[in-house]
Amino acid sequence: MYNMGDAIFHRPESMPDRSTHFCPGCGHGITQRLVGEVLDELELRERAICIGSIGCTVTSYIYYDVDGMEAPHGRAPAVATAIKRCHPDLVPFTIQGDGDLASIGMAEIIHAATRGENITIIFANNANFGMTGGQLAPTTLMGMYTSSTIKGRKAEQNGFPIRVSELLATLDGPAYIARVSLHNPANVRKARRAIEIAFKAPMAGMGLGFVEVLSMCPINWKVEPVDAPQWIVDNMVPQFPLGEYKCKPEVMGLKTVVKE
Amino acid sequence: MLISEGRKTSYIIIEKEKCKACRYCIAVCPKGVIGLSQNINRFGVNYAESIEHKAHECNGCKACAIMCPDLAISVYRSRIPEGGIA
Repeated sequence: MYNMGDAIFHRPESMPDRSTHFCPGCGHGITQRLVGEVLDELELRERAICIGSIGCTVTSYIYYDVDGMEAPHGRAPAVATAIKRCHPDLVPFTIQGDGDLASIGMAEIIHAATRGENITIIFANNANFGMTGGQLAPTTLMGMYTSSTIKGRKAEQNGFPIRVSELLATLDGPAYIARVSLHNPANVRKARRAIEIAFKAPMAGMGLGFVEVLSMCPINWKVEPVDAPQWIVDNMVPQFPLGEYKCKPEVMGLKTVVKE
Repeated sequence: MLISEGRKTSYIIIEKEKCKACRYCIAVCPKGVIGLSQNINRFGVNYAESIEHKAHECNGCKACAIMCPDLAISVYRSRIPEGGIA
């Protein structure tokens, strides 16, 4: 008489049933799930290629039921470029951390962006090198304590943080650049919409799709997981303002009306 | 208690072996349905679970599942069949 009802939220079908290896409260899990939902919705399981980058996202290929390839440190955009140029019908995507993309792989992302490669890059920005123990990253905030800036980041010693989305938005190649955050359910929904456009724009041959995700890293920020979303609002959002930084006019046509 | 027909009911299922007790779901639940268990799972943490006497208040907003970083939460919604259920 009483049935189980319809599942209105469940694990994306493109993600196998396994636990994540992330720390408690890590935003990477949410980012991975959003990408999985978009893969499901656009039915890309047979065509997508997951490029594993270096950092906490290094094993991202084990979380997706798609073909994958591992790239050396920071070189995921270069590997994705090669795959897209050799197989134009495939959809390479990569999830890169800020240590990987903004530090080691800065040259690759700038040149992939300025060439306007038709690839998707999700940039998880958590203001430190998460996997190696929370060292200073290019996106570390001023005065922030990390394991390699034990007195806080100082301008004369470590310079200023890089705003990657604004930097890439000055180039002509990218089709869509947005910065989103994961600090509450409404912003997670916005992040999902941005990731969807970042997949659709390269598939339509318009150029690079790039989404910067402000992600929680409570273990290395030394805050309780439950306080980490508020930490993003208080500290990261003033330094990294949210919004769309580049949206080519033809990309506007890809935006869909949300059913919910 | 007879639940009138046509009403929607929602509930959540939390896979306890995936939960790492980050408590995001507890913070965002508007109805206070979720709490930490007294027991521990294989990670050695008090996992999140839906509180038994509040589980019926779930309105299926999916906020907990959207914020869960470990994909541990699934949300279900069903309509009470004709005649209601006892």
